Amino acid sequence: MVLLRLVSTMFPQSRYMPCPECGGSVDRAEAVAHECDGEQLLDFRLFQLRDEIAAFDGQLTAWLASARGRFAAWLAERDRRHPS
Amino acid sequence: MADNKEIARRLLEDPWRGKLEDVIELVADDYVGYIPAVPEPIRGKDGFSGFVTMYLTGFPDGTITLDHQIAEDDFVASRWTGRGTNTGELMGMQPTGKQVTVPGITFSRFVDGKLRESWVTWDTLSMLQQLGAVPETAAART
Repeated sequence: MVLLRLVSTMFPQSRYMPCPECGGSVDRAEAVAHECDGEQLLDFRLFQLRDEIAAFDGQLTAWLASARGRFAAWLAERDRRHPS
Repeated sequence: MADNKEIARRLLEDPWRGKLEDVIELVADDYVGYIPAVPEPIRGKDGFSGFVTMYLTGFPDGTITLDHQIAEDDFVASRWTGRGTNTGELMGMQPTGKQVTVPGITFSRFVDGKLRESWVTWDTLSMLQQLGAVPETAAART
């Protein structure tokens, strides 16, 4: 007789895991009720974009130094002084 | 024993409050720390400071909260919870921005009011799972 036995083996799982949306540490028992804090959500998303944000300043500076950038800056200043 | 418990508390919590330089004098010059996650024991004030600084770098806003202590003779057992946001490089891993909550226990031996030896363990697997360095595991059937 072949005795079939189903054995469920649980491997270690962390009690706490970061929310994939806001990165906040959430107890698994409270995961369903978790609501992302707005500031935490913003901080987490900004952190994920930190390289792009850091690159933006350099890219903006380079564009402003280009012919198109200089013209756009001149145009914006003219419109600021003489709004239509 | 009460003094040793307070010293143990200060060495656990205060480095994470910007007071590492204040409490380093509570570590004996011949201190040895045994940590399963580290191949070799850490030694002396420099070893203690370097080890703490590594984790302060990985978790600049990190805190250690003492949950419970028991003391007997020269020994103090401290159960604690570490929390922090991974915004700095840690063990070669790029920062993730994720918050972690990690339980741990430190068993300390004191001589003449200074930390002489400690045995530190914490849920390293859980920490690495929370950081995404190790995948979460699931139930298995056999």
